[in-house]
Amino acid sequence: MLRASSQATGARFDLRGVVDPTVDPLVAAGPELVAFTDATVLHDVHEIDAARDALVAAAGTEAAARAATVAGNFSMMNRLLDGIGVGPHPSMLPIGDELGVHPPS
Amino acid sequence: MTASLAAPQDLERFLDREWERLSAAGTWWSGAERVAIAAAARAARDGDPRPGGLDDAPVEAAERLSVAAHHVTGPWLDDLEERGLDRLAYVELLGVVSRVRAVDTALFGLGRPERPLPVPAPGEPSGRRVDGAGIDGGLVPTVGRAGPPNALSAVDDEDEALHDLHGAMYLSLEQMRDLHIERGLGRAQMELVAARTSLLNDCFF
Repeated sequence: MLRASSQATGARFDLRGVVDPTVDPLVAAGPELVAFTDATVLHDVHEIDAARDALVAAAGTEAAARAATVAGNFSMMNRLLDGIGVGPHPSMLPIGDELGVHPPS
Repeated sequence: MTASLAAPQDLERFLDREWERLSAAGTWWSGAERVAIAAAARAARDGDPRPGGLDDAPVEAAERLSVAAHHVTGPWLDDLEERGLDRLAYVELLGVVSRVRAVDTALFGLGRPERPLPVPAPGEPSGRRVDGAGIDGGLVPTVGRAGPPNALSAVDDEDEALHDLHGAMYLSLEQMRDLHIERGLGRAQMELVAARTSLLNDCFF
């Protein structure tokens, strides 16, 4: 969906930024979004305040609040999809190869 | 320092609704059992001792779905079923664990305190079955081919709860078709958060 949304808007992006925090994904406030997502999803009590402040500074409070709920939503969806036993569509596997991310066989 | 963030518009109403749902009898579990499932999932996340109130199989299911959902397999579900956890009851349990994690994760990100689990409400599970549910591409019954929109479709109250929360926290199914939508974040920003979350959770869908 990241690729689809970026193509729809004509924006450049770098998918490597999803898997490697040292790569700027070329999405507005991308590095701050990644750091905030990491602290939120990993329940990192040591990093969350700084990550939230950095995202607020980069994108504003409304954006940071939405980032928190999107991370929550996908923490739900990840469990649902793994919990019902559905994996990636075969057409998506080349993207995993591109990023060096491989689902369990 | 940002102490905490206000929840996006209307989210509190959906969270209140979710907690009401959690406390009430569902389709296959009582309110007390649903709250116990949530407690088992939280305890697994925090490395705390197992709370009581449930048999071993549903506790094991709640624990794995909480901390290692990517290790769900058919043989494991078969084993749970042999130990008394019916596949439809598992679907409801999956819905409870997943939505509590959604709420807990969002509140943590917002800098808000975790909600105490609700006091269970009295009542009996409905036992209502959904016509047309069967195994179709997944490990549990679904109405139609298993995938994100119908993951919980074999238990209709869980299906409704999923879509309510999904729409409040991210986008409704209709909104998802709009690749230009802005909702606090632009669509590409939302998808970056989604993709990173999935990577952290070892989910490759």
